[in-house]
Amino acid sequence: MIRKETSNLRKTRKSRPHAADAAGVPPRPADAKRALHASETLQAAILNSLPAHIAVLDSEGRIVAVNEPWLEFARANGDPDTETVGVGANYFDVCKSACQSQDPHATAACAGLKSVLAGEQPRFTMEYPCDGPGCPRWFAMEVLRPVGNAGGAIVAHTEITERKLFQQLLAWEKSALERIVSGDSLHVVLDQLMRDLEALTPDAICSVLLLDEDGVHLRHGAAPSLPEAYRRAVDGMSIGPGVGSCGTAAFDNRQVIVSDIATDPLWAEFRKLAARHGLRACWSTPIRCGRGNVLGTFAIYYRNPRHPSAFEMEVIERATHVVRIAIERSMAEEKLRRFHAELEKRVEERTLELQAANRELESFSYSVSHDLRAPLRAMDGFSRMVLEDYAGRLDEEGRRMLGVIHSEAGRMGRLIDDLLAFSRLVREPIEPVWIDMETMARDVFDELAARSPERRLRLVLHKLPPAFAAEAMIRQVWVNLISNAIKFTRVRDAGEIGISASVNGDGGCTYHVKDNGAGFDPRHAGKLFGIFQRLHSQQDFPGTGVGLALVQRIIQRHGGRIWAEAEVDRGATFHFSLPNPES
Amino acid sequence: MNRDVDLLDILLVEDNPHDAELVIRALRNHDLAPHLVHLPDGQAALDFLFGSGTHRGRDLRKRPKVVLLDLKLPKVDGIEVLRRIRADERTKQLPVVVLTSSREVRDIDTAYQLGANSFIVKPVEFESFLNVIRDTGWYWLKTNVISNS
Repeated sequence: MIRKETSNLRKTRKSRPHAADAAGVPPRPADAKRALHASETLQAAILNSLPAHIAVLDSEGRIVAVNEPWLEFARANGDPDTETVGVGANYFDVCKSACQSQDPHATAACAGLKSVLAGEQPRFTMEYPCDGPGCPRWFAMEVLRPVGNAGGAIVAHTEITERKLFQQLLAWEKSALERIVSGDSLHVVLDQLMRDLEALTPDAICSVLLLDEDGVHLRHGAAPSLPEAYRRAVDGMSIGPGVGSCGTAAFDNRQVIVSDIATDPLWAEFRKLAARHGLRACWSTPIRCGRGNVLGTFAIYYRNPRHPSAFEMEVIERATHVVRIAIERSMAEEKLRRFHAELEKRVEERTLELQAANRELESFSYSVSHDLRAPLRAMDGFSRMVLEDYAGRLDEEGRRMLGVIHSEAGRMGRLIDDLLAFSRLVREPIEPVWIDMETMARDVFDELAARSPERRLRLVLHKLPPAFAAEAMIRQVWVNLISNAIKFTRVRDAGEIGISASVNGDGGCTYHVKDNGAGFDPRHAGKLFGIFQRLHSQQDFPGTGVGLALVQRIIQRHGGRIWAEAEVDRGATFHFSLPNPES
Repeated sequence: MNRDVDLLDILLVEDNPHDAELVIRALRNHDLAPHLVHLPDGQAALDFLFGSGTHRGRDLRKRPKVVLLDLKLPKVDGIEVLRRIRADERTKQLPVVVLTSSREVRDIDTAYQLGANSFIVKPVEFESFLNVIRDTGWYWLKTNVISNS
């Protein structure tokens, strides 16, 4: 009930235009009285049902009216003599003691109220903490100037503790998430999370236990405020039914709220341990991964018997969720780290293998280049010496046979040279430069054509974009492809070789070498680039079968591709691509 | 293969007898190097040059005008022979021509770093081989002037 002098309140409300006035119908006196009474009752009911503690002050700051919650709050806070805070008291006196103790909030409240009373501002609001018994509380204070010119002020205090707590919880969550991604180790992260949470919930002792990979043992995760000895006793404990709050929570995969350790049967075996360290309540919640498996437990201990409030249940739920994120992230990182290490180990192993293979290849080719040539030289040399020294005793057939030895030894020599060039290519580093492909292709063609003056050869050279590649290697590509084209057009009166290029989607280029020669059976196109693979007889078109393998190796080492298409007797086209050097 | 020659033109260090025969024939064809010593391994070459082992007591004043040195040799390889020749006061100015089958960049680089005077790859093809040996012999025996110190 609004006590005394409700007229003040009424006055403020009366200054607003009445609904009936607005309709333009003057009320009759009896009806008006009834209506007035109803209106007053309604106003009082509304004011008393508000959670805010409301007082109406006159221009001096004297309390002229309060609502019921105002009085209840005064009584609850040990102010049975409502005269000091109730109607008739001066609100400035109420705040005075606080002001004198230089509480900045009280000082601000006085200043705000004064400025509203003095008409300097229409409204003043402030949030302030209030350390009552139990947990800290928060209030919002609002000072309003009443409507009209009566002066004075309306003061309303509203408790906002819950909102404040949720704000703090939200802030904790935010900073926790930031900490999780900070890159610190899981223990450091959890430790800080627990400390911050304890700052938020006075008297609470927060801890995290992690379930071992074996799914049986709980390991210390974080518990910055639990006694070291207690932490050690719990570390490595097996989970099971009746193993305290955490052991049971992890085993049953359910929340276990123990309000009083001294009496709860789940703590039968650990009661003494808890008592030794002064722990009386323990609320433990399993931390579950996405698939529901238990990763560990989050627990809050108290040194007094206690049951969680609705807000504390909310804290537990959110904290468990955040801790789960921290653990899962750490596990993912660990997995990644292991995977990375494994990969690195494998790369190292493969590198060693490759290095060994390379060394072997190197000594092999070294040996080939030394030892395989000498016998050939002897074969060729001695057959020629026979020819020189015993010419008189040899007939035509004998000379022909020696000639075969000579030419075959020469072919073997070229084969060895090609083979060595091929194996050297694997080892040689690529040092790319810009190459004028058009000039290079033309030069190579002219050079090769000059070696076969008896042939009628025609080059149709289109515009070629430059390439960024190893010069000597790319020259080898042109030499091999163009000499191939010259070789296989031998069947024509006039050999025609067309060289052109096209730009690829990636900005790289594909170069085309087309001839009107013997072509090949496209069914064997797959063998074309294999080393020692030949699609024609030695008699028709001599060769070692290394040239195209070499070309392919060069193009591949540049990150490009080579392929060919042909039909028997309808010519062949070779294409090779080189990637865009900027990509 | 006369070890007691008064005159000495070429020391040929070559383990392959057929290669050696071809070299000697090529030189003889052009009347080059009538005084040639052929030794089949690196140790023999070092003994010959420094008067040790089976060549103890040899008159070391009789020095070849040029050494034709193969690289792949039994006992002591050609690279080591070259290193020892260059390391010794008595032989450090001796012209050494590396005559080998390999075109390996590694060998070429090492040989020159150790002070080889020339590096020649023996061709497989007989005509080319004859020409290379003839030119080599001609140059080192007829054209080149050696130091007498």
